[in-house]
Amino acid sequence: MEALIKPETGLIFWTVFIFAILVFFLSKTAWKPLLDAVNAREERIKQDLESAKKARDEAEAAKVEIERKLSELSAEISLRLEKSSREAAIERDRILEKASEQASILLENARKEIEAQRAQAEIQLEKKVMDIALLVSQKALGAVVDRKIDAQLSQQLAKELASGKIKKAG
Amino acid sequence: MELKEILEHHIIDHIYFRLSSAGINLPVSKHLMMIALTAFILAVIFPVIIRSKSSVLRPFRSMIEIITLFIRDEIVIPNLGESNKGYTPYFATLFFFILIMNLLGFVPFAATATGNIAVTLALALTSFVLINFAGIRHQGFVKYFSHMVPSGVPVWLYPVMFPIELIGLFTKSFALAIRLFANMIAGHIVILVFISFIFIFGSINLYLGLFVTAPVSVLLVLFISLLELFVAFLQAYVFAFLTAIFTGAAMHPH
Repeated sequence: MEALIKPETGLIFWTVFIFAILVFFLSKTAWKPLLDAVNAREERIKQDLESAKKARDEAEAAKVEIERKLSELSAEISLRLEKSSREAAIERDRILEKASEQASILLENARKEIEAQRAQAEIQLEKKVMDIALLVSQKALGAVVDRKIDAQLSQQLAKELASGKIKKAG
Repeated sequence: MELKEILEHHIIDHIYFRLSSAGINLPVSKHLMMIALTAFILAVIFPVIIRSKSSVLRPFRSMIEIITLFIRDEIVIPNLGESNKGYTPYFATLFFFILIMNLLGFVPFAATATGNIAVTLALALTSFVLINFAGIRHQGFVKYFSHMVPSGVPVWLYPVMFPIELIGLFTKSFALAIRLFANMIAGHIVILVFISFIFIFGSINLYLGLFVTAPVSVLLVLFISLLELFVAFLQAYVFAFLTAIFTGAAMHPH
């Protein structure tokens, strides 16, 4: 059994020789293509991951942009709505004010017209009353006053009546 | 036949003839044939599998790839550092060389070359050369030997520590050889002993040997064989891993 633990020098040489050749040979023929393929794949996976990450970042940026624009838009919409409703209120107030102003002007005019009419009517009434009073006083004074004058007066009166001046005035 | 003869027949190398000329004596033996077969598998079949685009060979390619990546990511890079990935081919060759020699021990009529102390010593020698080569290459000759003693050791201990570390350099590699050799041979011896039990008990009583010892022994042999299969992978890994640790320690002293 000594052979079990007695190293055979020749076999040591063989093993080292074969192993050394294998290391150089396999480095070229086996491990290089294998590791190259693995590295290429790892590189590709890394690139894919990076491009996916980039695309996601871009999409997120676009989303943020869209959300910002949306919020801007909604802010502007509410702003414009508020503005237009405010303007509408102002316009309404203005129209109402104008209408009431016009109405008051109309009312004033009507009142003035009525006033003027009344004043004129008063004057005419006064004149008519004076005429009637004059007539009555002529009739009463007829006996006393000269017939000629009376005739003259009555003629004038008849003429005036015929021309409708008194009536008109009345 | 005695157990000793059986063991010798199964475990010890058979030298067919010797090539000798000019004082050089090279044996041609069974274990050398196993090494040659391993070299053939590694040098011919591996490149074919790796370079082939065939879908039939793809699973084998994947197996080799997974193991090679494991060697790169778990053995070489953690011990030698990211910048020394270039040592991966060496460790991959070392691992597969030992693994295939271990596994050939399961093939009938074949033998386990790693169960030969000469083979494991040769492998330890390559590791020894690698450790010192890498250490000197990365640190420089003088620095490598001056850093051999761990930092933090008092100066007066240097005369003691330096020889110890120098001896440690050899024992580390020598332990690699003994570890692999002992592990590979132990399983074989245990299996042979279990088989021999059948005959030992059979010589006492034929029926005891045939019907009691034989089933138990066969079951135990099966168990030990499965354990051996595990050990074949484990020892290849341990050899490569320890070589990487020693190489890393030689490259980056602490």
